Amino acid sequence: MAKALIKLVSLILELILRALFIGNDAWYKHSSIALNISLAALIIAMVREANLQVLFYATAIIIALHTVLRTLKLFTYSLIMSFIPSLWYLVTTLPFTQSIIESAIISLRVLVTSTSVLTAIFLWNPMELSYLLHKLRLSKGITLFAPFLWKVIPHVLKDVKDSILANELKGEKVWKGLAVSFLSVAEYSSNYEEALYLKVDDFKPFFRYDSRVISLILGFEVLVINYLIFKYFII
Amino acid sequence: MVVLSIRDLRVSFPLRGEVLKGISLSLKEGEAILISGPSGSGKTTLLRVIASIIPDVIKGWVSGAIKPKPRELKAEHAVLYIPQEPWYTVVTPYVWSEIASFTDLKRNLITKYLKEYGLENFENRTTFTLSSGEIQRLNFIVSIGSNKKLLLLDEPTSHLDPGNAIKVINGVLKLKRLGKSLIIIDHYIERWRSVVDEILFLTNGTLTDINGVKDPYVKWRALIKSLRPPEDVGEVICDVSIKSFSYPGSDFEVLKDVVFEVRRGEIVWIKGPSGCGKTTLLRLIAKKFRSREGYVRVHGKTIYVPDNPLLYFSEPTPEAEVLGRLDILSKFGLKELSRTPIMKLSTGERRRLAIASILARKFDLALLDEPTIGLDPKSKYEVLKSIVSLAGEGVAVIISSHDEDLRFISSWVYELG
Repeated sequence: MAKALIKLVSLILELILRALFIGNDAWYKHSSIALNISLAALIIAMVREANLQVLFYATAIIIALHTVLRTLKLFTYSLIMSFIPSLWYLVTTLPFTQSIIESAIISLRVLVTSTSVLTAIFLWNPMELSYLLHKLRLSKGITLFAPFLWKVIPHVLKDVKDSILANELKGEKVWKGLAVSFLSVAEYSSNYEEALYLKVDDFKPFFRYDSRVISLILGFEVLVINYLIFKYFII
Repeated sequence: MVVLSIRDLRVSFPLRGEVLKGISLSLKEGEAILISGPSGSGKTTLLRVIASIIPDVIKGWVSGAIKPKPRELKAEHAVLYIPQEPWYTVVTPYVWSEIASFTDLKRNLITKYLKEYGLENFENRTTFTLSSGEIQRLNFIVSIGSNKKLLLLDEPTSHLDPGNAIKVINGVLKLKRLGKSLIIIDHYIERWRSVVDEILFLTNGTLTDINGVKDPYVKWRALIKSLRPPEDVGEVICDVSIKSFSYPGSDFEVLKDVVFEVRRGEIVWIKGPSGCGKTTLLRLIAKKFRSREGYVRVHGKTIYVPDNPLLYFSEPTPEAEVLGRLDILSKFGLKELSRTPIMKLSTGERRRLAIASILARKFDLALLDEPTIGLDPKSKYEVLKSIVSLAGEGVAVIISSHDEDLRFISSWVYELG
């Protein structure tokens, strides 16, 4: 059981690491945060209605978006990660609904919701967020937060993987590996404080948009808005 | 024009006492000074004072005259400090975003400088995957774009293979031509001799001029060269046959046609440039990789020590880590540190402790990732000697590293990439 859990955690860490942080910068990551969030919100609004047909449309929209962005791998990752909460809801709602179909629909709604949120995160533009915070005249520390998080998380995840592997091979408990990773993060923070002491004052966040990804996401949003208007105001 | 002038600089800390005892030096525009010296002699302290990290971030007492004052240099944005582990200086996720957010360089100039510093095609690379040498060169571009007058480099070549070290040294030459002044700390004096204007040696907190003097680490380098792998080898412990390996979701083939066997008592050096799959291979061996594309068979207990040795430990003190075997701590010169918290050990001591722990816990196959990275020649000698002792006890050792000094202790070499 413990080994299976370790394998599952390792797989999820690997997927997050690869999907979010390892890949080089690409045109589809130069979207706008506001557009990403609104697309996810629109899809969630769409699946408020609990029927299979709507779930099918929403899934089709997400797949179509990933197809045109040529990010079907990211879709696969988000689907795998979304299966965990989806499965959890399937099992935990059964005693209340006492119907496998009703629970399956709830579980599918969670799956679509989670996939759309992860899609928004995969297309996240951390430099844009930093720029917006900078424009709000917030402190350098806060302005740096988003890009810095993007830079630091893969380091931390790599450490977690390494310490889990070393402690697993030693026959030690998993928590010992996680505790050591925590200590290593504490060591990092003082190293970063020293290394960035002079550099932080020079930070002027700069970001890039890409018109292709912006227009594609806008196009899909118009499609979903049309559906919602048709569904709630016309019919 | 004098960029920096230091007279009778003294620095002391509450527990360590006086670390710098009357340092004086002067640095002109376009000049580079190399400072060498043993670990703990105060080299990094000197850079930290100039960068005003001491006393602003790290508390300590500073006296003497520094012109201009470190806080003035900071206020003028005139200094760039790159510590020994340069990856801590990078803040943003991509190469282009790092340059664009810390300089006023336009896109065409960013492309120009990336090409000039050997980083063409790196514009969209994620900074997490950059090697130490690539980060050093990225920082050089940032220093040009943000008009830094003075660069403080702490052991810029300590994490690099000879090829990448040459690229960084060439980068420093270009910076000098642009009128930048540099203070460089490094153990590798010969590498820098033709580049720097002055070489100083810092020992016990005082500076001496050693221009024309031989490498002060000559004794330790000679000792490293005298090390040899054990002659007695036993049965096969590890059998590797990997036709192909790519990470999930990636089309890039990290490993191809990797076939070898390792025997008890052998030290095998997996050699190759950054990104060639050395660490991936160690991890596949640790996980006993098996697929249609190949297999790894291990006959015995395996252990993996990551490049950050802290991640290997599971106990708070050396004594607990070696399961109370003080004889083993003694063998590796760590007995006096038996009750010191592991967090307070130096990197070299942590690496030796990990090796001692492998012996105490009776592993048959040890996988060591970059065990000598960032160590001065003395600490490196102690770590290499410990690895030879470990193999002498019948443990098979596989090391992934770009450190050429491993050739002295390796039974044989497997080259990747």
